[in-house]
This record gives sequence, C-alpha cells and structure tokens, in this order.
Amino acid sequence: MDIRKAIVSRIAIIYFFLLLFGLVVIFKMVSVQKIKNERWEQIAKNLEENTVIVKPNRGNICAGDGSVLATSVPGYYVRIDLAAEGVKRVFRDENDSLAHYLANFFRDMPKSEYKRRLNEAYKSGNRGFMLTPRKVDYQELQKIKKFPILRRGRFGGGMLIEQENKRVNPLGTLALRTIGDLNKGAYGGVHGHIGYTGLEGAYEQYLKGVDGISYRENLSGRWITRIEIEPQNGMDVITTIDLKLQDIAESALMKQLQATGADWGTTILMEVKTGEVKAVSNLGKENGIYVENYNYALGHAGCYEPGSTFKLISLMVALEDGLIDTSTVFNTGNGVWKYKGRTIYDSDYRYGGHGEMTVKQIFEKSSNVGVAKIITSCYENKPKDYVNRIYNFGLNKPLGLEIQGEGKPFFKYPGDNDWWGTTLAWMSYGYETKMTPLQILTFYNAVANDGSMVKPRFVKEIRDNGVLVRQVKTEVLNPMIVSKETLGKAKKMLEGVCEYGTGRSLRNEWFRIAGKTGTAQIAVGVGGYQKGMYLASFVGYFPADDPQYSLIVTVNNPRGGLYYGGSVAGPVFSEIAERVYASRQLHENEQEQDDDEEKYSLPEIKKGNVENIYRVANELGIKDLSGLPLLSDSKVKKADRQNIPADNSVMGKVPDVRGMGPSEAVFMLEKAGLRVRLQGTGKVKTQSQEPGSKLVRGSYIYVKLG
Amino acid sequence: MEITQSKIFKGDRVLWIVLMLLSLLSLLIVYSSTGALAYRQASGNTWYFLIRQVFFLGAGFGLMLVMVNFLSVRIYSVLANLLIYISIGLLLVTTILKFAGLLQGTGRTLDLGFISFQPAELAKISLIMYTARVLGKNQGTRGQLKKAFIKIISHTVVICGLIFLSNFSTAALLFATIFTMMFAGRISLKYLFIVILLGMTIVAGAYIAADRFPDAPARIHTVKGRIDRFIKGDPNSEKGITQADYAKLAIYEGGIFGKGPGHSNVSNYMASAYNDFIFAIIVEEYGLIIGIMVMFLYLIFFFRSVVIVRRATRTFPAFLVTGLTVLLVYQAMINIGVSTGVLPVTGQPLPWISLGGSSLLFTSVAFGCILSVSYQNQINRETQKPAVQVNMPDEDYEMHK
Repeated sequence: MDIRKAIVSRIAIIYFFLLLFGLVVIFKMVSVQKIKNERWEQIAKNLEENTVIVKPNRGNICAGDGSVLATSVPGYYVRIDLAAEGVKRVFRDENDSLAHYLANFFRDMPKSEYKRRLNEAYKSGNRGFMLTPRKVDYQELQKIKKFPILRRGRFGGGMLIEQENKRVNPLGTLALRTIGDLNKGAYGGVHGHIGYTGLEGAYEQYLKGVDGISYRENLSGRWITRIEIEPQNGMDVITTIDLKLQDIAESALMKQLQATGADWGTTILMEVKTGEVKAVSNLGKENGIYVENYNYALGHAGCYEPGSTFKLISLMVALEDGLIDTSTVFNTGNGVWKYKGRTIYDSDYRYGGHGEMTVKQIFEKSSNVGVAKIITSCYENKPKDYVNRIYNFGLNKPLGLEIQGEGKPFFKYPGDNDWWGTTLAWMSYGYETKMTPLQILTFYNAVANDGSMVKPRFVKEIRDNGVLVRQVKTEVLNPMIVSKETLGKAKKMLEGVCEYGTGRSLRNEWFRIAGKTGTAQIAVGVGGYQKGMYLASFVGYFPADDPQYSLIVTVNNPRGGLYYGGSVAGPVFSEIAERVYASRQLHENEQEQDDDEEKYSLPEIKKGNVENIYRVANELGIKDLSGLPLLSDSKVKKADRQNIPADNSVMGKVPDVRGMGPSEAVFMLEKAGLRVRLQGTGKVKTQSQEPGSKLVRGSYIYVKLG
Repeated sequence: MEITQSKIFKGDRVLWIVLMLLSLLSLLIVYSSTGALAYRQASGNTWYFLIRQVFFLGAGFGLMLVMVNFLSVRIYSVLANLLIYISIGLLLVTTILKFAGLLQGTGRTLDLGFISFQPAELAKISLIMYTARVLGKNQGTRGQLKKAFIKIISHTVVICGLIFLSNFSTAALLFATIFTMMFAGRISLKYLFIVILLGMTIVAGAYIAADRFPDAPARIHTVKGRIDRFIKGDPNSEKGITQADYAKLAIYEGGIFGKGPGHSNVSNYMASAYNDFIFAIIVEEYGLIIGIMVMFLYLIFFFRSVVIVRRATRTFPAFLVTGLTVLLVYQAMINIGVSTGVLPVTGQPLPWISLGGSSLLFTSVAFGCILSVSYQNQINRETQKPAVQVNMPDEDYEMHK
C-alpha cells in the first residue's frame, strides 16, 4: 500500500474523531447555556458570598512627636478545618492531647468538655471549628500554633487564623475625646471599625485604608482563601498634640476639678501663630471620678453663655467704632443698675461698688454695670451696628472644624423675636449668647496674634508609612479683626487684668500673662439662672510681651464656695502657663545643647511590660528597639500619668516634683523659694526634702534624676 | 491550491492567518482575564501582562520566521537524536531536585538562572521529532516497523514516566500524541492494542494504589481525586463552587453573543482564568459563536496540516507535521473540553492564546517546524529542486504517488 495514502487516511480517521469531539463540545456548551439555569443563577449569587473583604490595618493617630495616641492591635481567633485530609490522618491520635492543651491554656472548660466538642465537630465534618473561646493576642497565637494537630500548619493541620484588630489608646485617657473613637457596629463591638467621633471620625478617610479582596475557592477539594487584592493600610494622622504639654494641662485641670468637685472642666492650649492645639483636655465627672467623656472644648454641651470673657469683644466693638477710648470714664455707681426694669449687679456690689472708672478699669475689675452702660450708651439706638461688628469678627459662625459635632455659636439679632429691650445690655457682658470654649479662645488668640484670626487645628500632617502625604496648613479665618490701635488697647486691658484686676493672682515674676476672668451664672432650661451654679473660666495668652500660647480654662459648676473665674480657673491657668513656659525654656535649651541626640530618638513608649513594648515596637516597625537595653524601671513612669498630689503647690510646703522633667522641677522648686541641686539625667526620681514637709525658704533641696 | 508566496511569511498562508487570528484573540483575552492576576503579581498594573504577551508573541513570530527562512527540515531529524537525551537528562535533574526538596512549587519548572522553563515542554517536541525520525526511517518492512515501535515505546515510557511524576495531564497528552503518530505511522494495530491495555492497567493500578498506599506520590492522589470527581460529581459542589463551576458559569453567562470584550467578571474569581480555563472566558466575553469559531480555527489548522502531510515528499516531515499538529490540537481540545466540562479538570493551556512565557516559545517552534515543511513542499512543487541550505544524506523514505 502506498505510504502516503495510508498515512493520510489514518490521519483522516483522527480528524473525524476530533470533529466528533468538537460536536460534543458544542452540544455541551449549548446545554450549559440552555439547561440548568437555576443552578448557574445560584452560583452567580454565591460568587458574591465567596468574596471576602480583607480589612486593612487602620492608621495610627500620633502626637506631634510621633508617640502613638491610638493604634490598632491585632487580635486573633483560631479555627480548625476538621475535614481537611491532613487532620483526618492524625485526629484519632492527637485529639486527646489537643483537648488537653486547650483546656490548660484557656482554663474555661475541663479537658473532657473540649474533647467532647472536638469529637462532635469532627463527626459532623466541621470545616471551621472555633478553638479559641476568646480573642487571643499575638504572643498567645504563637503558643497555640504549636499545639498538637495545629502545629502542622494550615494545610497539614487545618489551622485557620482570623485576625480582628482592636483599637487601643496606649497613653490611656490622654486627650481621648479629641482623638475620638470608632463606632461599635451592629454587634456591639468588633464589627464597626469606622471612625466616629473626634479625629478618628474626622480623618476616617485617611485612617481607614483601602479594603483588599480575597476569594474563597475550592481547589482540588480544599477550601482556600486567596488574597486577590492586597489591602492598603491606613495612613497615620500626626496631631498637633504635644504630649508633655498635654500632660501638664490635663493634670492641672484634674487637680482643680477634684478640689472643687465641679461637673466638668476643659482646657485648651493653642499655639498663637499657627492655631495648633498643643493640648486639649476634657474631663467630666462620672460616678465621682473624672474621665474624658465629652468634648466640652468644642461640642454642643460645652456651648455656654461665656459671661465676662465676652466683655473683651463688646469693648473692642465700641473701641473699633471710635465711640469710646480706654480712658473714657463711666460711672458704675454702687455696682447695681436698674435698666429697663431689670437689674444688673456687679459681682462685688456688696462692697459698695467702684463709682467712676475708666473703660480700662471697668474691664480690669470686670464690672457688669460698667460694660452694660458703655454698650447701651453707645448702641441703644443702633443695636444692629453692635451685632454686625460681632458678626464681622466671624464669631457667629462655627469654626468649621474637621471634628464633627462642633457647637454652634448663638447670637441674637435686633428684630428677632427673642431680641428683648434688655438683650443688648445683657449681651454686652456675655449673656443671651452662646459660644464654645474653643470659639472664645480663637478670638483671644486672634488678639494675641496681632489681629489675625487663625482656625484652630488638631492635625499637623498625614503620613503614609512615614511618607508625608498631606501637610495641614494654618488657615486664616479673618486676617485682621480690628485696627492696630484697637488691638493695642485690647492687649493693654488684658494685661491690666492680671496686673491690677481680677486676674492679679496669676502674676508671677518670670513672665506676664494677659487674660480675662469669666464667671457666668449657668442658665438651666428656660427657667432662668440657677443660684449657685457658675461657669468659671479664664482665657488669655502668655507671655504677654511676645505671645506664644493662648489658653482657656473652663470649669463648670464648681462647688464648695469658690466660683469666680479668677479663683477657680485662674490657678489652673497659671499652673499650666508656668509649667508650659518652663518646659519651653527646657526645650529651647535642649535644642541648643544637644542637637545630635535627635537621631537616636525613639517615640516615647510609656508603661507596659517589656514584652508588650517589644511587640508594639515591632508592629510599628521600630526595629531598633529590641537591640536597646530596656531599663528595669522602663516599666512604669510613675508620676507620668498620675495627678500631682493636691498639696503640691500649697504655700509653705515643699512641692512634689517627682516625675517632672528637670527644668519644670527647678522652676517649681525655685518658685517655692528653694535652692535646687540636680544630679543625674532624666526625670525626677527622688527629692531630698519630703513633699509636703515644711518649707524653709532658701534651703537647699537635692534632686536625683534617673 | 495556488497561493502566491510571501517573501517573508513563507509556508502555508492559511496557517499564518490562523496564527494571526489566534494572536489577536490572545491579546484581547489575556488583557481582560489577567485583571485579577495583575493585582496579585504586578501591583495592579493591568498593562503588565498584555505587554508581556505582546513580547512573547512577537518573539514567537520571530522564531518561526527564522525557522521558515533559514533552517532546513532535515536539521530537525539530526537534532532529534540529540534533543531527546538532553530532555531526558533535564527531566531527571528536575525530578531529583524535586525529591531532594530543592524545587519549589509543583516541581515542573527548572530555573537555569538566565531562563526558567518546563523541561516537559522541550521533551514534548524532542520526543515527537524523535518519533517522526524513527517512524520515517523504518517504513520499509514489517520488521522495521516493529523495531520502530520498540524504540519509540521505550523512549516514550521513560519520558512520559518522568513527566507523570509532576504533571499527569502533560504525560497523558504526550502519550496520546505519540500513540496517534504510531497509528498514522502504520504501526501494527496489534501492538497499539497491547499499549492501550497496558495503559489502562497502569491507570487502574494507580487508582487502586492510591487507596492502598496513602504515602504514594501526591500526583497519584490528585489523579484519583479528579477521576472520582469527574465520575461521581464533586462532593464540594454542594457546599460551594469549584473551578469547573466557574467555567460553566462563564459559558452560561456568555450566551450566544457574549458580554463584550473586557466584561468578564467570572475571571476575577478563577485562579487560572488566563490559563487552564481561558476558553470559558472567551465564551463569556465573545459568546458561543466566537467560541465555536475558535475551536474551528484549531480544526482548520489540523486540516491544513493534513494538506501539508499529503503534499510532503518524504516521510520524516510528514510524521513531524502529524505529531506536532496532533500535540497542539489535542492540547487545545483538552483545554476546550475541560473548560466546557466535557473532560475532567486538568491544566493544559490553550496553545497560542493562553498567557504564556517560555511555553509559548516552544509552541512557536512547533509551528515553525510545520511551516518549514509546508515551505519545503512549495519549493519542491515549484522548482523540483532539493532544498538549498544544507546538503545532507536522506535517511528517510520518499513517498510515492
């Protein structure tokens, strides 16, 4: 037979079979498309069910120096695939010891119970049996990984690990309300993970990161989760909060709240030039102790009638309109003035009043009658001019903070239904209007900042893995609130308050403070003012000659007799101002002396056991840390987070400076009249004279640092 | 058939057109089916795999042009003897490395530093060349054919055995190809029946052995599992979705006219959308009709090869074309069959369409050989002169009219 013919005819047979196969394929495809429609619809639906969102790690919120204020710490659940081939092979031999290990580890059920449940789940072919009764941390997970059966890993041991992050605030309650929190989700805890309040809510966009996607799929009979798109971790929000200043502010406020038993208090420390909020503390009483429970500094509930601190605004309006000068004289009489049927009292009318005073003196003495007379005499016939100028300052609008829930300022306008005949008078010294402490501070900051009103801000920059993504710039709300002359007069008056007026007690010998006291009666509901309920505040800036920081202290409803702004909020103001001033000196000295130390700087890590610190450091990618020797006392910096004992600054006793930095300590001790001898470096460990012991002025005190 | 000869694209013009069409489809489908892969491996750069495919297709065409224009068919006959032992050597090395635990993954790929490829790919082509050579030389008597059978089957068993250790379906594909070549090469049907019986015994043996010896090589378990699932249905299909389900879903969703280029969403859920199940994605995006046309492109290719074989003047080129064509078309049919659920799940790429690297280059070598033979035929028809390039003594037979 011809070779060619034989070959070709044989190939033709193959070709015939291939054509046949092609027909089978066509038939199959047509049948897939036309028959069993429901099954494919079902599978198409399942596609979505098998798509698993992979959560990215949420970004950190950090203090200005990089210390972590809020971070996500991973927690884990461990499950086991009891129908995996590898598990089937060893289950009979090792289920007993696995139960033993689990019972020993968690100690919540006896071994027999663990074993019973394991066997039951094994019988029913459970492909995701939960082994951990609770969330375990990384260290525990490493131990569990070595348990019988599980030690063979994901494929051999059927181990499935689920990660669920937990948001923690490593520095405790520090500025907690401003940092904010995550909503709790539908199941009361772990499932929400969405920034809700404070900066967590405001910067959700940056913090949350981008979800990844993974698919659960079946390869050769085994379910695996395949990560299709890697999640992108959230960015870090670097706040303007300065840990040291925050600590100073918070402990000073805490001390005063505890001493006065007030309902709540808030203090905000702002950098004059930039509007950066360096410290913000909100403490409210809950079950007798003070916790960060609401953002009084800027929220609705902190929006109160400001009282006397508003007088600055009133007088600046009149000064700017050229209707008065600081030397214009008004008669405050005996401190009681009947105006249109209602009576205005000076706070010290019982002592007979001040008679004739200049505008400056009226301000310094905080005379309600004086201010009311000034404003009514100037604006009785044209109240709109007065209110319009306040509006022009930009005070009637919220600051437009990135943090949600800012309290809206409230100002009446002539012609409004609630604009009564007496409104102008009462408004002039801070009633019938509402502002949040932060809004008041913003205005005072503008005075300190030569008329430029900058928007307070809490965030310095956004970083993605350390790379700068966005730098938040200072935003100017009003470049010049009033003329230079008015500004100069306002500053003089504010300085006068602390020289001759209600703020005299704040004087110190190192620098001058400019500010204003405020003591407002608190209106409760519509019924009017409750007797004995006051909002004591002090707002101002320092040093008066070269303003660096503006500061407001507000204490709501102090008890026990003291309620004046000067005596309740004033001491807090002066303590914060003095210690901030001292630490600033220290900061400047440090920068001058050891510039090269910076390259070794690590974020400050506060208390916690060594293992945890290592872990956090690892999670944050601070690899160096494990190489550094950790001092035994790195465990707790005791005084760091504790309140300074109440007798700290009691006159005639040795102050407690333990836990303070050297320059703060020296400042405190020298202020008390002691001579200081320092030894060592770091923070104060011991002091030679017992805190609280009798103070002998001019005696030496030896302070050991370490 | 009178076709004017292109100066560059020498050889069967229909084949060139088929290749061009397949290339076009390849680029379209690779681009749309690698979206997920791009996120996994190329940090979301969806152009990455397209550019890569363009590069490899271009290299493939270049390789074919070089082969058609500069290499004589007879060279392959000489090369066959050399290549087959190189292949066996490489397969042995890979296998040893695999069992020594030095290779990662499935142990199919050998990394030589400058290039990484699957030795099985080389082995496929060299075994076909070798078989074509042996068959071509021994067409004279029954005794010669018997000698040829023994030579071929012994080499095939060694190579397929080595490939089987890491890749069952490639071993089976190659074996089926050689078997078909022997059938076309006039080997006695008696021998071929013996081979079929033996093959079935081995498969059955492996199937049973998998139950008896749980420690046997993992591949045996894989094979058993797949056969079980194909016959009895996948036990997991009740609980969830298998790859095969996704493939059928893709075909179902494609309908007659498809969803349009780039609109596949099933491919996002499949691990091997761009590869083992690519035919299903073609149907999803371009519809049933285009799917059938793609299948017919391979059948047209086969038909053209039959024409080339018929016009061949010598036995070695005829068998070479037969073998290479059968290999590629079988492979295409496996992919199509697996994608549509006609065959059990296994991983064979669709030749010239699937996302490829070095394997695409081996495919183009196969096409290059086929085209060279058809060019040779054309020269012989036009000039009746022997090839110009290298003058070598013929070892095979002329085919008489």
